[in-house]
Amino acid sequence: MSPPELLAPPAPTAAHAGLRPGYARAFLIRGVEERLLGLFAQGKLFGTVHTCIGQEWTGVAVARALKPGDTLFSNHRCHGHYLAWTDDVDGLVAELMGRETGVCRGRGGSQHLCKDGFFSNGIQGGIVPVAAGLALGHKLAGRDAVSVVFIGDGTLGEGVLYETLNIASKWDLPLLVVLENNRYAQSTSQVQTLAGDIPARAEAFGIPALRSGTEDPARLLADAESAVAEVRTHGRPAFLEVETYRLMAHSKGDDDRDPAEVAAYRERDPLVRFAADEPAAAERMTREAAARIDAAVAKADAAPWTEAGPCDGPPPADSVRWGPTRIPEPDRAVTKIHAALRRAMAADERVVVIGEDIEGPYGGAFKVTKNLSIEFPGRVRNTPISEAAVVGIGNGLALGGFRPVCEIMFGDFLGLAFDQILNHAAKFRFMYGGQVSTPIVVRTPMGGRRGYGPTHSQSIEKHFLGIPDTRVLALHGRYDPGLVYDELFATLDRPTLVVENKLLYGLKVTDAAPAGFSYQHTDGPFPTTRLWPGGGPDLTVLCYGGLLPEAEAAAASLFDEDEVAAEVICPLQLYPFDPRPLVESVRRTGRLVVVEEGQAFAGFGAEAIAAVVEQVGRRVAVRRVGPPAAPIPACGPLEKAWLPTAPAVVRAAREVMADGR
Amino acid sequence: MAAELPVTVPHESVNDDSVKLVAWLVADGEVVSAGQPVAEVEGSKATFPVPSPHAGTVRLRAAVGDEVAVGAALCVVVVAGGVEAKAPSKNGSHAAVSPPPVAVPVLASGGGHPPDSDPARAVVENPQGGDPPPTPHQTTQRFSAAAQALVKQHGLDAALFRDLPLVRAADVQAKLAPPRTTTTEPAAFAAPAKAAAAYETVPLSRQKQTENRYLRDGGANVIPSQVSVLVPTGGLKDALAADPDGLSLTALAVFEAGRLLARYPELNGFYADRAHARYTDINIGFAVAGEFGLKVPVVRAADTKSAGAIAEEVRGLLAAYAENKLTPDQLAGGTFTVSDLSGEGIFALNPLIVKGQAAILGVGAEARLAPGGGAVFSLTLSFDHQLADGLLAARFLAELGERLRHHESSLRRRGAGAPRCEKCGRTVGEVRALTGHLMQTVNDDGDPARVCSLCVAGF
Ligand SMILES: Cc1ncc(C[n+]2csc(CCOP(=O)(O)OP(=O)(O)O)c2C)c(N)n1
Repeated sequence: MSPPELLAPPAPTAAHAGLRPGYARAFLIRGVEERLLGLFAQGKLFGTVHTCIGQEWTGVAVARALKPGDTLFSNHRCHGHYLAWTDDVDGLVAELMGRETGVCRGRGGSQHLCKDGFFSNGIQGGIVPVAAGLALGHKLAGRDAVSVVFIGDGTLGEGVLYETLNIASKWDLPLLVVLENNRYAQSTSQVQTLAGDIPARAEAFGIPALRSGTEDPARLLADAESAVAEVRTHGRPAFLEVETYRLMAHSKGDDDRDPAEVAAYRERDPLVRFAADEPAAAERMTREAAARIDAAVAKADAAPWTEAGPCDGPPPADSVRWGPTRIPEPDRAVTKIHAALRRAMAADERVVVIGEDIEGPYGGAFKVTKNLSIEFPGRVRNTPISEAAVVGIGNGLALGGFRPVCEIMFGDFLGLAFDQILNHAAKFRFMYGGQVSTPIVVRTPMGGRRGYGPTHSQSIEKHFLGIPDTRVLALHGRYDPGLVYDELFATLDRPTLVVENKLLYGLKVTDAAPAGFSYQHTDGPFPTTRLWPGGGPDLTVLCYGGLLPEAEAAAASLFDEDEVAAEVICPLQLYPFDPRPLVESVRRTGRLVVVEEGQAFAGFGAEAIAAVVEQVGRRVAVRRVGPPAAPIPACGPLEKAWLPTAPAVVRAAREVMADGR
Repeated sequence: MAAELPVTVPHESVNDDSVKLVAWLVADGEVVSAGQPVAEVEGSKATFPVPSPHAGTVRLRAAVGDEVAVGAALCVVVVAGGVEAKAPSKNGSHAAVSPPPVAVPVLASGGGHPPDSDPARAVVENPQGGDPPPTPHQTTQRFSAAAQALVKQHGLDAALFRDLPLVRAADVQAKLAPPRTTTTEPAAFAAPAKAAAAYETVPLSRQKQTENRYLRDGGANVIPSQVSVLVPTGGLKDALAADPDGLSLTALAVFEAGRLLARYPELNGFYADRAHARYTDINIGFAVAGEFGLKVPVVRAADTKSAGAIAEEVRGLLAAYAENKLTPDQLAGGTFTVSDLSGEGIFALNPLIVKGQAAILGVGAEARLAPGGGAVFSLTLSFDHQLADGLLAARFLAELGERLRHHESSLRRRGAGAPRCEKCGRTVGEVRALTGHLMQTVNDDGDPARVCSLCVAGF
């Protein structure tokens, strides 16, 4: 394959004079990466490395145009950007060598670096909305700061990029997108994957695009400066395309390019040409860099391996304490949630709400944010239909010290934002060595009974369970949802998904229990609720969220018809799951019915039963009640038959009672 | 104003100076209703639940494994001032307390839901409405459909059950024929004022003391009487030992006693204040003594299980005893007891009636009354003469003996091999060696059988 474009004659090198500090940093970067390749060959690194050899000047030029307080986001090819911004050779080398002294304590490694407002992630495109979110944070906080994100040309294929360009332009965010166009993505030439024009992409969103390149560092410095100035002075996004070339393999041993093409670019490499023009200076820069690198490697070699335990310690071992549930002011759940959001916004300026159709007078598909946009101008914002960017921006806000609340109109749409939860929000604290946290709340309605059909009625929370360092809550009507939000904002320390059942919104939240039963809950935040049969239980029923009313009705009818006293256990916090209340109950009853509205296969119930089996230590009679393995239908009677209801719980309970005898 | 009221080790065990706390049935901070069992405590022969006389929030005061003195608090119940509901005490006298502020009990309608509401969403509203006191949480009451029917049928006042949050048919039946016990406190045993001879006192082990308390308790409420029978055998033990299904004499005794007790209700209950309290279930305990003291694990619903199933259950319970892992559940709820000492070479025993029961069966070892004569073993029944008499007890034992013999002959038939004497179990060779012979006859069941001339002569 021939080079995609004819090479223009190289720019004159006369302008080297004012560029020495930049060259010194570029030689440092190159020296570090060449040493990393050597360490890799010695088996001293973990995973792989993506070097930016040939591209160093991008990071150097952009970093020089920035000032302290600005923030930078990068991708897999981030060492150069990192060193250009932080000059932290020790932290980088130790990080790649997996040492406790690494900048992220060896947890992140090559693609996941974080220091002084610098963040990189190995997911192409995913970090772009996060950069935009932090830009929004700068803006909301009145900080005169710019947020920069580096992407490669291959990442022009990621949709979330365009969601973000759109929002950044619409919201005038101080965001600079720097596209390093090295013409390849891994092994694939952009000739094969890129349609249309690159700057036109930004311009289509009304974002000014500049073109520059690493071959002429003087011009690149000037272009980077004007791009940053554009963003800083006008408070709006800009796009800087930097033509460049990667001289080494994408990562390791994966270079299929024509060696002649690579050789041609090597001749034009600014560092090669600088060394030819000014050998003494280049030699000195290389030597000084080598001394720092030697020292860094020696220090890292002497440092201990990183230690990384679970995000949360072991689950508590003491026994559960129950108290009576009191809901002094019964009201509809939607009113309670709205009031709690309002309280949080009034009490804490950092609370910001974003989502689709949430501004007044509409106030969200389920009216939870009604009028909040009017009461708190600028802090409740309608977004385009861009779930990934909405949560990504939330992540950036959280990194910037805010307490973002992202409303996803229907839980079913969470799939579009999954990467932002799984690979961004949930990873930052851990992979950045505990330097940051991501206190973001994602709220969403789930569940059927409204006839919305297969893509608007699901309960898909199980797909979000078990992601370390996150929390998943499922609200229900027997523990004040407003209180849940109060507790959440008071303790918010991690990404938290709050599942709000659609029917719950309209239901009255009370502590009323069926006659003969009472509601109690465990102490501490996000408690487990139980429906306690006076005199003690014969059977345990586990449910959560929208199914509590069904379980409650089942408990009442089980007593009336079968004289079986069922204790219903309803955890509010699905993850991390505290199995103690359930285990203690089943220890007493030996019989368990689990009911869930989402697909039960590999679901919450399976997890809960595993905990019971592991901990109860005797035979337990168990049944699961869930929907059939089919999508949830729209047609009313069909939907009703599909959903697990009280009679199904009663049937399962009878089987379990017969079993356990 | 909240008050802390103690839940003490119950009065009925006044002879105990302490019991062992084996399990909490509630957690610290849990809200209990009056009458709700809060703890399981253990003596030597049984465990029993301790109900809270008060409704309120429990604060635990002892730990599982503790020996708690009688009359001492296991826990306290924090009761909001003036709203305490007191459960009736066991002896039937209701302490004077202010009546609980229970709303008229709501008899749940047919399906258990208030009419004209969506049954899937129905709840009975908290009767206290808007401003409920912090604790206890007073719920309304629920009657099962069956309980409700009984209440109606007998025209009972629903208020009778106000201490029960959930009322079952059995609760209503219990009110229709309330079993109440009276306990007479035996005079304390005092050391003789003046010792005739010198002695020293060695304190009894805890285990033994607890055992003694229970035996004393068991005897306190009965007029004991006893009868014994001798059951001829040709070696039931051996036949059992050879049984491929692993039946044991204990299991057989439990099995057959279980079936018989259905016809002898006088032996499956207890005397209660001029009434005969009959147990509806037949749960047979069997005494085990060994390293961990005297324990009586219980085979539940023994009248409904096969001999094989009972044998297996007995084996399981013995294994649990051997590991000291018998649970309170496995020790509780006995209605009749078997004490099988046939393995110990004793001829007969005088078993002591367990508290709350009417009779106990003792099984003696096989013995030959005369050298060369037929073998016998004794069955002894200790029973409460307030409920039964010697004739009834004798009939019970005779039937039981017959049944055991029947088992023996069928086991022997199954055991096959060389022809044996039905009575003494000797093989044809052994009989010949004693200069006797085997004869064809018909046994008590009308089946063809063989007996030896020695046994016939012995009769
Ligand atoms: C979402 C996602 N898809 C695929 C990959 C695998 N991957 C890592 S780097 C890369 C190529 C990226 O190309 P480009 O954006 O042009 O950056 P360059 O490597 O050229 O610097 C690919 C496909 C990834 N890390 N993330």
